[in-house]
Amino acid sequence: MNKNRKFYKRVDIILIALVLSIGFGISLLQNDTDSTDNERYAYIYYENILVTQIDLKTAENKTFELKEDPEIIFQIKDGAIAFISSPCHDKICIKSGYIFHDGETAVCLPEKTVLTIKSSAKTDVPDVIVR
Amino acid sequence: MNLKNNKRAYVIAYTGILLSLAIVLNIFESMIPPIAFLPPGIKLGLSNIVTMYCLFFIGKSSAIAITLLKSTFVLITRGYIAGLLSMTGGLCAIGIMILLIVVFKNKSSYLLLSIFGGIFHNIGQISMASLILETPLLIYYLPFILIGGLIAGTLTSVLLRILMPALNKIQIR
Repeated sequence: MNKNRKFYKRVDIILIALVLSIGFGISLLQNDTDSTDNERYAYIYYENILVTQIDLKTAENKTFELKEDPEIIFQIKDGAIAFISSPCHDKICIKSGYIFHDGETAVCLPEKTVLTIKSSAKTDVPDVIVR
Repeated sequence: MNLKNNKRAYVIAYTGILLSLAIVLNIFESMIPPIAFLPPGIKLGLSNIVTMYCLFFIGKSSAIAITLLKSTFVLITRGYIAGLLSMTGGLCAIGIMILLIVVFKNKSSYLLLSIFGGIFHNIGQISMASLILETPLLIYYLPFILIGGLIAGTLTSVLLRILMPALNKIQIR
């Protein structure tokens, strides 16, 4: 049944080239404004509702908890923000570390919390979905 | 001892061994710390090596069983969300692989199946995460899905090739 299946064929090279070009193509199309001249805002969504918006350029270093779920704690340091405490099991949000650039995201799925950075220049990705 | 009489039991036992292998690989790859700019919860997909081997050399139903049972294990040990992500990722991967095998029969190479499996595994996971969070993660993370899936798929197929002799030592006749 499967005895004659090859490990790779020439067609695979075309596939790989196709996937790479689509992948890089899309990433180039997405506007990445890395310049720190632009404004950077940290948005915190809890259950898909925007609950906090912080201007990272002017924020002081501080630690604060989420009002909706006081067990989730964030910290702002030098214009970057991170999860530093969460009751979830995997702690993926905390392991994501400090996020700084526009578009970077840290997420706690079990707690339905999304932390993301947006600048006003990013227009190709919809910000909020209205149910 | 006539193996054919015990074949069904043999398949079940063998699938069980492969399932435990898949679970161990899953535990191992979840210990690798995630990197900040990668999508939440994206994993290497090492357990896909076992699933693919099962699909090619045992049967479709055994491979699907491994996927579902592995997701159940993740559900029990890491919770509902992780289990749900594992299930959608795993089912998407095995679904596309079965589809490709049925459509192309022996013409598709292991590498091609592995790459599609890897990419669709990521698509399944991101789509489910996107659904849970109700945010359009898929659009933003598409480059990572494609390239990450490509790399993971290539890695998986290479590892499969390396491990094939060892896995073949237990054979069903």
